[in-house]
Amino acid sequence: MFDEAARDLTPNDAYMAIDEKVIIILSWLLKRKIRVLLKRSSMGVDVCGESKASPDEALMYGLPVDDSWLPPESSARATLYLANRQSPPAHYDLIELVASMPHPGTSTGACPAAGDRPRGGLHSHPTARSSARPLNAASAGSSVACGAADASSDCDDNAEDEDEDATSYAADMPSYCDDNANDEDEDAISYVHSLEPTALAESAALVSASGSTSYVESLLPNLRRAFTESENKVVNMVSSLPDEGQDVVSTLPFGYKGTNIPLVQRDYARMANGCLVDGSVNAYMFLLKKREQRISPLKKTLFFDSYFIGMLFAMVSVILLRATYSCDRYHFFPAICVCGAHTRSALSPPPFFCPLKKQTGSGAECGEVERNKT
Amino acid sequence: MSWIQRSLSSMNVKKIFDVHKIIIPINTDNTHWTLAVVSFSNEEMRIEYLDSLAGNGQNDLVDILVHFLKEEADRLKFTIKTWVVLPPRNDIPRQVNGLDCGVFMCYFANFMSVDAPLTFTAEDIPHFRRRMITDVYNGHIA
Repeated sequence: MFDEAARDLTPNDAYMAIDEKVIIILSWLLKRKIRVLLKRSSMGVDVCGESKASPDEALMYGLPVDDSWLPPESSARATLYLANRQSPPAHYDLIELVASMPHPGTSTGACPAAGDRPRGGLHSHPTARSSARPLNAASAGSSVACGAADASSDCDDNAEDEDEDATSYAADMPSYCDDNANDEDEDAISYVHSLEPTALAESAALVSASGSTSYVESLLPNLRRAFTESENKVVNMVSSLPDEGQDVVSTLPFGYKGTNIPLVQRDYARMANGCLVDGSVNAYMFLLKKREQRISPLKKTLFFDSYFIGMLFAMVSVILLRATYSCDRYHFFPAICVCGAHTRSALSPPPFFCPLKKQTGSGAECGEVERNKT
Repeated sequence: MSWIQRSLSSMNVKKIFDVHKIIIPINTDNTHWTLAVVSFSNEEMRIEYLDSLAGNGQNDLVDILVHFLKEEADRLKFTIKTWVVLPPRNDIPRQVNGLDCGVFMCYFANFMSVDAPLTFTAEDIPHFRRRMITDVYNGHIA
C-alpha cells in the first residue's frame, strides 16, 4: 500500500504521496459501499452468494446489533446495517456514512468545521446527492467531531480504554501510539508471486503430519459414495422446496453461544440448486468444526462464519471515514499519526511513516497541524 | 467485550492465535463466495486465498486480512517472524457455471481443514450438493 521509496521524499512530497494513497483507498471503499447500496436497492435481481442477516439472525449469530462496538452516531449505525448486509433505512444515506461523527465530550473543537470540509470525492456521487441532506444538516446540533481528537486519549494512555462500555468500539482498534514500531515489521510481510515447489512439498508434509492421514485418504471416496435410501429421501424432499420458502426445515446450534439457528426452505433449496446463502454456509462451517473435534481433537481450527469479513470491512470503513472526514484530508496522515491513534487501526494505510512526528519529535493536536500547514 | 473477542469466545477460543488454522468464508458483494485460509506454523503465518473462479486474488480483502492479523499479533504480543501471502492457486478445482461458487468454497474448507489435497473436480459438485444437504439435515459430516 505504502511506497517504500516515499521514505526518501521531502516532507511535502511525502504528504502528496500519502494523500494519493488515501484517495485510492477511499475511492475503493466508496465503490464497494455504493455497489452494496445499489445492489440492495435493485429489485428482482438475484445475485449469487446472497448474504444478508435479519436483526433476529444477527442476534442469534452474536453480531453486534447493539452497536456497542461502534461510536454511537447515526453514520456508524448506518455502517452497521451494511455490515449486517441489510439495506440501511432510507434516512441513512451515503452522506451520513461519510459525514462527521459527533462524539460529545471528547472533541477538542480543533478540527475544521463541517462546512469547511472538502466537498468533492464521496459527496459528489449521484447516489449520495439524490437523497442527501446538506453536510451541515448531517452534523447539526452537535460539535464537530475530530476523528483524531477523541483518539488522542488512546495515545495518552488508554484512560478510556479501561472502560469497556464507554469505548468498546475502540477495543477492536489496536492502539498505535508507537509510530515507528512497525517500520521494520512491515518488511516481514512477503507477497509470494509464485508458488515454489518447496511450498507444495510443505503442504504435502502437513498432510502426513496432520495425524488423520487415513481420514484424509478416505475423504474423497467417502464424499463420492452412493447415497443410502434414507439420504436419498432427504435429497428428494429438499429438491422440491420453494426457493424463497421461509418455513423452518431443521435447526442447528451454530449461533452465538450455541443458539439454535433455524435452517429454512430457502437454505436447503439453494444447497440443492443455486447459489448458497449464509444459512447453508454457516451451517456447513459449524459441521466442519464438529467433525474436527471428532477426528482430531487436539487440532484447533477456527471456522469463521460468513459475516466475519463483512464486519471486519465495516470496522475498517468506519475507521477510515472517521479519520478522513473529520479533519482536512491534507492533514490526514499527520493527524492520524499524531492525534488519531485509533483511527489508524486495521487496514488503514500502514502507519509506519509519520513526517510530522519525525520533524517535531513530539505529539501535536489536529489544530496545531493545521496551523503549521497554513 | 469487543466484537472480535465475542466472536472468538463463542468459538471457545481466547486468542486468535491459539489455533493452527483459520478458515474464513468470504462473500464478495453478494456475488461470489471464496475462501481464505490462514495457517500458523513455526512463527510463520501463511495466508492462502482460494477462488473457484480463479480470480486475481482479491488483493484488497487479503490486505485487509493481513493487516488485521498483523495488528492482532502486535496487540497480543504474538511473535510472527514470517508473513507469507500465497498467490492464487492455479491447481484448484474450478467451477464451470455461475452458481457453484458456494459449494466449491464449502468443499475447499472441508478439504483444507484436514490438509487434504483438493482433488475433486467440477463434475463432483452435483453429488457434493446432495451430500451437503444430507450432512446439514442430519447435523453431521461423516
